[in-house]
Amino acid sequence: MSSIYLFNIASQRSNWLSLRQEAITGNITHANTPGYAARDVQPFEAVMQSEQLAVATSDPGHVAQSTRPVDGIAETHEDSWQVYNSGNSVSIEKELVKAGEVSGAYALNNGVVKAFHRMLLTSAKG
Amino acid sequence: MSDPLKISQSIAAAGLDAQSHRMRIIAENMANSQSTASTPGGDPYARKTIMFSNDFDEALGANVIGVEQIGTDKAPFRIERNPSHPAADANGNVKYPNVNMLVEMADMREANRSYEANLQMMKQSRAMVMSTVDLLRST
Repeated sequence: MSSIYLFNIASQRSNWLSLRQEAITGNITHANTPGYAARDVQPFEAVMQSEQLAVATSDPGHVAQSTRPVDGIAETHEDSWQVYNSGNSVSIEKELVKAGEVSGAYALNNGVVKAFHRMLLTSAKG
Repeated sequence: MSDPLKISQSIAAAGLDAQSHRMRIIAENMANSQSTASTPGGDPYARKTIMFSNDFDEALGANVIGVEQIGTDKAPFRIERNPSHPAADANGNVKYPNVNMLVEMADMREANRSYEANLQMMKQSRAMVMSTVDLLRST
């Protein structure tokens, strides 16, 4: 059912956004730690594409293939604006911009889920 | 694995703690910028430095910030001639702390900015959690 698929993808996206928020917070916290390289998570598109298609189970004897958990998102070293003398490559401004993006995308995601949920409720309540 | 947004808030809290620790060290340096020795020819207050480290918190499952060590600045002391001072040595020279007010002020501003950035992340993570909780309301 495609609507359920939307909830699934929305949940994955919010999971990914939370992980990204965690990575950004880590960067900002270490803005003054010598030798710390800024990190970021892989883009959501890459995570979605790397996910292999699940094999259909048409017979009770088939074993359902479990999909890869989103927890396994690899963290990449991001290309930073500048590297300071101390070997630190965190730019607080850049991180705050990214945090703003994440916050906006999260609100949008939740808005979509809410709208879809309302649609489902409308048809369910009749 | 626990909730990344919760981890995010914990990391930001560790950052706030580290920056406030740094502020304490800066305040100590500024307060003691004129503290000489009490004995003739003795060493005055030495400027303190703070070092941060990237520690792995096993309970949290994430890298948080910690204070690695508080050291002392190796820079030479400022020497002024003042024979009447109680801490003056045989030649009448007094050693003053190696604290530079300008450097401390710049450090303080940086600590202030980093504190604000951490606070911002804390607020934002909380707002994200609240927006998910709000999905349950008013439907």
